Amino acid sequence: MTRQRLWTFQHRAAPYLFVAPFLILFCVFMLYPLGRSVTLSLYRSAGPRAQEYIGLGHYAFFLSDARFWTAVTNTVMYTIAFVGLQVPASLALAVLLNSQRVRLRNVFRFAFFAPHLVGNVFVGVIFIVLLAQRHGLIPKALGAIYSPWLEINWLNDPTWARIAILMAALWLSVGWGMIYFLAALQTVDRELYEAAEVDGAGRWSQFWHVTLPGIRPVFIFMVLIGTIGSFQLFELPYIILGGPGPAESALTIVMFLFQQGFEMGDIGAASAIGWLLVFMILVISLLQLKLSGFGKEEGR
Amino acid sequence: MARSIASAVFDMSFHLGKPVLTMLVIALITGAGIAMRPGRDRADLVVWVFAVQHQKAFVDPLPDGRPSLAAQFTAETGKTVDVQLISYRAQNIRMVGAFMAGLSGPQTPDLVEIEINQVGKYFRPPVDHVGLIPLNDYLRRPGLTPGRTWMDEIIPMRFTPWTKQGRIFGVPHDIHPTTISYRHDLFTEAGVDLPAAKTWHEFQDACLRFQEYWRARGFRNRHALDLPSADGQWLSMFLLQRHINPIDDQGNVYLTDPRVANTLAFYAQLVSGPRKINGESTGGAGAFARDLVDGNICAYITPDWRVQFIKDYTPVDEHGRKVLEGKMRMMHLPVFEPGDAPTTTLGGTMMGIPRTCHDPEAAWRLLEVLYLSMDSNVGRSRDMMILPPVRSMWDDPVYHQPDPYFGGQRINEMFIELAPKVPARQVTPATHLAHAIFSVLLHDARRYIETRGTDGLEEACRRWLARAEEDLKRRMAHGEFSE
Repeated sequence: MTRQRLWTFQHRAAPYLFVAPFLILFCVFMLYPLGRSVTLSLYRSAGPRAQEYIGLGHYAFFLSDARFWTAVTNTVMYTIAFVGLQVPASLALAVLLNSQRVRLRNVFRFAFFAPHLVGNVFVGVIFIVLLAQRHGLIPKALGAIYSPWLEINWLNDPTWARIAILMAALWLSVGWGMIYFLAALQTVDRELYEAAEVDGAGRWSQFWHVTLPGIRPVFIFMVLIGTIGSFQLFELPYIILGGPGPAESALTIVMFLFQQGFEMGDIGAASAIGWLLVFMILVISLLQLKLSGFGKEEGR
Repeated sequence: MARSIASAVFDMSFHLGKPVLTMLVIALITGAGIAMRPGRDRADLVVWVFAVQHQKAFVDPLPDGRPSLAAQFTAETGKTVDVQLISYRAQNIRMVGAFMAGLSGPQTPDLVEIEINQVGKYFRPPVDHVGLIPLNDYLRRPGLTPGRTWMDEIIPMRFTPWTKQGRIFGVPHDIHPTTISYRHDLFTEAGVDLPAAKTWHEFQDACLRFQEYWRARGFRNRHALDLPSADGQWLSMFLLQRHINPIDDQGNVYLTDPRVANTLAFYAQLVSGPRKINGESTGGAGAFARDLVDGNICAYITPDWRVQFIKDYTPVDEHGRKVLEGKMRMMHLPVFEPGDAPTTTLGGTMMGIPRTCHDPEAAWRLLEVLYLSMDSNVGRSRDMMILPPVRSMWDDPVYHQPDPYFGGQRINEMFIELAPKVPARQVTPATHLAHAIFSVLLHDARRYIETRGTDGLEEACRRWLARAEEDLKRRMAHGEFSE
């Protein structure tokens, strides 16, 4: 009887015991901090001994704050440029390196993917050296073509600084996107290409009518992940430009959050910006999924 | 034996597969290793510094063979000291994190160095809740000179950046009087006597003549002065020369002072348009030293800390001498108008005692040894050549030697002459915002010059600054606690 009870108890408790480690860690490291950040966002804060309740004051302030909207504009502009370049470039590379005609494909695949392995900080430091005025490899190469280009101030001119950040981000992530597209390309049914060829479709037609629909879920995933990642841009400008950059050209939303929290010392304000960012990413992601018709296939 | 264990592991069946089994084994081994690793014993006093030169000055034996400053303190008090070098950015994030979370205990230091551009945020809470201990009482104790306290001995204006409502939260490490260093050989060859320029406008004219001379000889990329084109902190440095802090310690904002618009318009003309004299070096100190050697940039604004910094990065010739030795000279800063200071200040560091320190008395004694003792001068002059804020230390012969790098000029005597004239710099939680505003306005002013010339520039600057002041006041009001 006792043995039977123990067995019944085990049977009932086992699922809970199995999920308990995850649940405990999730509650301690995710749920509690998230809840705490909601509370903090309602306070003017400079540590546990200096807090003043201001309700939705931070939210109201930032929504009417020109600097916050500068950060939003910079972030949106960067996102459009990044996703608009990264997704096509990754796809083009994947198509190229999926071709049987290219020799040493694996070497090239690794070479293009390798920058992603080293991470943001390393890439940032490399780009500081590459773009150093007069001494960097890129200014020297450009200067060899046209000598005034040697003096381009990549890191202290707002326009060039934005381009520098974009270049570094693309260098870091195009290879990563290529791997996803490569995997997707290899799942496209070969028979569809053969059928298209029989129907007289050219290479472009095959790409447009067979390849793209075949990799659509990955395409949507890449756009979504690219957008979310771009909205969280911080490390590259922080490393390369040492902060928001010349004339705040690289003041992104997360940079603004960081400034409020760690340079102004107001964690409450930083929490409020964090929640505004979450809301923006949620709306944009839902909008993208809706516009792309994601999930409709399953409903049919 | 090992083979049989390996065989047992790899031949056994594990329903999740061998990769997962391998990961589990590695996790168990490394986890056990971490769990059993003996913890590092905390020293009696932990000091956080962000500059390697500071750490060297504190922990390296003195040049005459005597023990280091930290070891001297340990010998005197029996308390151990751990001087931890933490990168500038990481240290600030850790300090903010510690203060925000109300941490105490072994995670927090007993003494911490804070840089002048970072200190404002620590003064945001009401003065009783600032995370550092007020040092006024400690500073009233006897100093180096008999009958004088530290308060009397330290240059008074150097307390201002570290003070909130009369409470001093840090002991200054430095003063950082500022001069201009220049390539004497190249300016002489161009027939330009740079030190003869007593005002900034004369200085700009002299630099333009210098650039024209060299451009006529094919040196199109030879720039007179190293100056960032859009860094608000540097504009603030010029304003300080005119005794203007963008925000004072009472929270008053001075962006609409006509001299701010005047300085902004002038600075913009130094870095853009037909009277541009600046060049920039964006690759760090090494690239800047290279630019100086190559003659791409021929003069630079020089707080005392920058002297050794640039020297260290200057290459040496086949005889082991710095290639710029004898080619450099130093001069006072020009002024805008009579009454301006002949110098300004850029950068600065303090050392303070966090409230969480368990033994403030011992921490203060260590602070005295590291910052204020005569021996602290030895390490300081060997590794940094930064003038201390304690007047009685200036008699040390090390500050009165001719410097071959500067053609035998006694540059430290120049710094000593300027030190009492350094204007008081005030730092508030919003000063950082004022610098961000200056950075944006500098860009706007440069664009104005490039598209419309200089007519009406100062008036436009006035309008922008009036708007910016309103905005800054709004931000300050939003962040302020009701004390």
